[in-house]
Amino acid sequence: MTIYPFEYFEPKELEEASSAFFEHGSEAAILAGGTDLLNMLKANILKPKVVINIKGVPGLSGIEEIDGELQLGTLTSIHDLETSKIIQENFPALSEAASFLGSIQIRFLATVGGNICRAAPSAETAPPLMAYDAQVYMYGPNGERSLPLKEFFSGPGQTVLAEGEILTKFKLPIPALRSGSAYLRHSIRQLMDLAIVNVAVSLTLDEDSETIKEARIVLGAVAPTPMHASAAEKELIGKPATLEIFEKAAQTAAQESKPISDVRSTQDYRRAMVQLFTRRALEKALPRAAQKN
Amino acid sequence: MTTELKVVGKSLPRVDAYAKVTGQAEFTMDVNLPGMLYGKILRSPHPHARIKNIDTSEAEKLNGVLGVITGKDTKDMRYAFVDTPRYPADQYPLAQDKVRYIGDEVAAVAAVNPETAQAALDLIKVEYEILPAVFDPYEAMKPDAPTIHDAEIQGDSIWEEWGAEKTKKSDANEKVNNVSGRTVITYGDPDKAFAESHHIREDRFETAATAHCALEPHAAVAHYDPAGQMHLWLSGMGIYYKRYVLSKVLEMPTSQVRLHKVYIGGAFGGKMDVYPYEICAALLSKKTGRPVKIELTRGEVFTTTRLRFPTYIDIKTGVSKDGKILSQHIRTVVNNGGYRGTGPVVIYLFHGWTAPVYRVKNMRYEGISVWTNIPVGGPQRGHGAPQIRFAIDSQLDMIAEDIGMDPAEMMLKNVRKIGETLPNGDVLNSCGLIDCVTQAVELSDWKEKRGAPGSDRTERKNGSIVRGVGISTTTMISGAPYYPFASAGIVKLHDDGAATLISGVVEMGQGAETTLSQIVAEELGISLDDVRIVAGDTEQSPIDMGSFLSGGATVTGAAIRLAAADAKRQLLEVASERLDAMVEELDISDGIVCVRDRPDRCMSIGDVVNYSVKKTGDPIIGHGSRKILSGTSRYPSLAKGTGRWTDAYGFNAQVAEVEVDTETGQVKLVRATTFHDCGTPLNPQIVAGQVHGCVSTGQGQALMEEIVYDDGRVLNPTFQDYRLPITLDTPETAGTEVESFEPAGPFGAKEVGEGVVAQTLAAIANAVYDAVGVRITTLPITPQKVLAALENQKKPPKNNK
Amino acid sequence: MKLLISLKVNGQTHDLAIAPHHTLLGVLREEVGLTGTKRGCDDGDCGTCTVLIDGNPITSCMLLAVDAQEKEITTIEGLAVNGQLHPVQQAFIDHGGLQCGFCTPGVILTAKYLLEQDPAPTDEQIRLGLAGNLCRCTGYVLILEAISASRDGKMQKAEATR
Repeated sequence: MTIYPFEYFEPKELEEASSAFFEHGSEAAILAGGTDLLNMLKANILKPKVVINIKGVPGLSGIEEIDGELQLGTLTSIHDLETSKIIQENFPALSEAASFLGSIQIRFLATVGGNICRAAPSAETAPPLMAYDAQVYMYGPNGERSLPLKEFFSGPGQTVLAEGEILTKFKLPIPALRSGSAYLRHSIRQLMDLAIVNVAVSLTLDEDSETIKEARIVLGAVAPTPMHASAAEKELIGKPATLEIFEKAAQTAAQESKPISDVRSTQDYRRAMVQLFTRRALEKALPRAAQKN
Repeated sequence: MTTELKVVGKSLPRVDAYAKVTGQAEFTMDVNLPGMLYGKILRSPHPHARIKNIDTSEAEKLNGVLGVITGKDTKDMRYAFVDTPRYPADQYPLAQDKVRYIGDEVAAVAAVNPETAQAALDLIKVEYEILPAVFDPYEAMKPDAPTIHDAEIQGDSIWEEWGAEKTKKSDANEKVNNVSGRTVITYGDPDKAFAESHHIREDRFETAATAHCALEPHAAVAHYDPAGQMHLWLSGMGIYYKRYVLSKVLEMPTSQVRLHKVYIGGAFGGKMDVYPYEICAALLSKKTGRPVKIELTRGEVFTTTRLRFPTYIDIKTGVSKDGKILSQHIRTVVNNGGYRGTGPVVIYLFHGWTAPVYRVKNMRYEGISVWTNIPVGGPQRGHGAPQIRFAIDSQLDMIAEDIGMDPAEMMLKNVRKIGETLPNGDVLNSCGLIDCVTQAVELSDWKEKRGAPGSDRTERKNGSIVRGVGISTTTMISGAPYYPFASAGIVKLHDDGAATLISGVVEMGQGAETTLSQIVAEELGISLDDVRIVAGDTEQSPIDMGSFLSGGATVTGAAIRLAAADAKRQLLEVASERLDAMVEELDISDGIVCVRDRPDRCMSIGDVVNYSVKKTGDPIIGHGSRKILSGTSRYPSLAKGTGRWTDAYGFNAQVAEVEVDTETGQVKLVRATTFHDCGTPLNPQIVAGQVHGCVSTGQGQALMEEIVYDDGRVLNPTFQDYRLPITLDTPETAGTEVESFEPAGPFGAKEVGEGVVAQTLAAIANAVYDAVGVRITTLPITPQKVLAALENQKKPPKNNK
Repeated sequence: MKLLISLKVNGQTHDLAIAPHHTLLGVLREEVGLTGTKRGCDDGDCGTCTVLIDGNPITSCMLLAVDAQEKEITTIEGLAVNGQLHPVQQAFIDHGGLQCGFCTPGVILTAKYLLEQDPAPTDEQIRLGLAGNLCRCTGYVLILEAISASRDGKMQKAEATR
């Protein structure tokens, strides 16, 4: 619980932040909300020589709708995700996920970029962002680049961020008509607990309002990184949205998941919960899709 | 008691409330002294290892480090909570030859700030020879298991100093490898009674290690004054007990060790023991000549400040056709961890929480505590009661089903009544068990919710959610013999009519400062606002048994009532002269002394005090004391269970109503109906707070809480992964005290703060069974276990009892 | 290596020299001398170190002090005005919503925030809002009662007459 001393730097520009980060390499750490970083500093998992606080860098926060896309700054607080009207209306799974992250005290500090960069397999905001096809933007020594979020994670606690690269924003297409989505998570304690399983789903129905046109099922805490249940998604597409097909897709999702046993749960239980919560999430998303036309 | 009470029995605001809502209440961690250093402890990373060498030279050289100590500095300091002729102390403040669990204390440093202290720990080089370790008590008892305490511990014990006889400690069973304690209690003729039983069941139950989770982490501030006094601010539960042990360990006269008052941020048993960090703070202060503060991290609190003992319980019970328990054979094995902690006590207590509840005339009880290489066990709210009551009342529920009887009805056939004498000689001068069970059944709508025999559980199904109810009972002592074996109080009067209570009691949330002040106000006939309290400082306060063993209300309360009565007697004697009336003719009410029925012949308490000072110089100071177990001189035997133990028992019964999600296996406690016999509730709001807290802890330990180990390493030493209940888990609570009066207690009061936690566990387990027909016999009742059990159910949901 | 920072706590500005790795919690307790903010876990899990920053509750163990500048910080010591308790403090006394008192400052500050956000929160909203404030003593029952008794605008009304 003792943080080792470090040098502290508050860049005023993105480029300045990135070049400082590049210069110090693995001896530097980026501070945004700090709720994960301070945990790791206190546990002495990280002992950086330099901490670069990017909170003063302009343009990294905010929630805006631009040209049919939602732009989400990396410094946007989890509390803002939870309470933003645009998000509640268009990306309900994301605000639902935000409401499960830590306590209200943590949600005021923690940022969406931090939650994603921490790359915990159970990260609360990852499944909904992936279910909404989020594109993630990074800025580094070689300028800006972007990737689909699903390609961003490379393992537990690991991302594709290169040296000196800083996550800057997310872009999410505004969901089409007849789209509905939902987020569910299962934990022993309803809140203040890490997910045993978390699931975000998004469904888009055809003009007949019955046939599933598009489907996303993203699972957390049951693989090294948040994952699409791709086979289950495929099973749904082109089918009528019925409880039977949801149950079948849920079974497939459970088979696809790669859970482990750890201090929080067992492999078998996690797999059973993938099935249950995938089904429950699909059941929750369907009426929302039916409403949005 | 026909006089109407004016202060006692009222839900008056706590006297410590203002300080606590404004942030002014001072806890140990808030004590900051000029020149204070910060201490940290180097702990063993190995569950079992021999220390070959410790090199502190680099640490000592670090700028800002003022003191480093190791086992060499503590080699004559053998001590422990259990230190009896049979079980001599087995622990040192810093490890001598070996470390016995991950977290065992190896060295300590004091430095100018926490960062430097941490850096110094990193520089201490310890050479370990890693030894094979053992974590399971049954494995540890095998002859070829590693022996954790190599040599038989020799030497005198503190109990001998307190007058216990020097008995020979050898016992054939002690030859069993790693056995740290053994209790065998027999009465009646169990075999014969089993032979006569209509129905016999044998079951095994297991409970997990759980943590106290007081929100205040343990801390110590020590300041050695060169004039020879050691000043201490400690997270403790009894200032006189800690002073005694610290004076022994530090080889100082008891009166030269001074514990100062601090508020305690919750304790629940976890702050009773004297811990190595406290001794290290004192030693480092002595060594450096400066005040030293040591604050444990939350991780250290989880691993090194005692846990509830993981326990294995085998019970064989024989009952008659009409549900009377005829015979019981109980075997318990506790995983003691690397040191005894209170292992030999808890195996005695398991029986202690059994005898007062159900009338079992034929009993064979065997308890064994076993050293292993996990963290050490100790007292925790209920000290053994949660484990044994979980087992006994789970099994009672099973037996009731076997013989086709309602479990509440079966309880009523077996519960003890007022006036009964227990096998150890304790007498139940108050016992409201029947009322507790009856009223809990009634208020919870038990009969309706339980459903008629033969009815289908599925009728209560709502989607995947099924409801069920379960019942359990328990008991708790009201003080037991332990140093200093008594409490005393002083009440001094002021010339404005107010009174100051001086007590050694420790306020750790239980409300003692408030309820004891209420006793003084009631006895003196003044308002609570006119009582000041000075408490928790060994230099100022008379002895106190401490706020453990649940004797605060009964023992300390009785002493303080006597002190107030003594002050009142003196006051009335002076007033009788002044008012020219007999003492017997005087009454005090609202701070005024009057001749009965003569409102014209009155004077205020303040005027009486003034008059007394003017006349004789006596400001009027009353004192009172109460010995635990008045009239007995022998101590109870931990090994045999003989000997009286307490003056009064509290009792409780609870009906838990749960919802089980049959798809996830998750159990939610929705309603807890609790009736308790605490005698006269001194302050009903404080009593209610104690009950709510116990229900919450019981609920947590029934459903979520468990310290998880891997090869002796605690895997979840954080509030994130060790899940105590949060606001969202709070059930609806119902129930209140039953009518009862305990003659030993002040105004009829007895224990309430500890016992209630115990019966929540079986009540929930039985409710889960009632709901979905699965019996979980290992705590906690996790969703995984329930779901697995549901899947194992070959048949569709059970058809009731 | 120390930094000169300026913190505005309970309306007063404090100029301090601190190391960058010091948390707001540590600086409030050890440098500013306001020990009403408690260190329960130092890990963001228990809520005892809750303070309000620009009116919003945060766990002060999870924020570097250097990062708390140019903001209004309110600690438990800042609630009473001229010796008069804040209505939420009074409600906790009246309803017995405290025992050991260690979680109490954080609980009261969180409760104040919740009632300011929404003068009439539902039971469920109160429970959700307080989920990050652990308490082992009370089982939360009387804490929730104290907060419920302050809703429906009662806190605001009492505050107006303070």
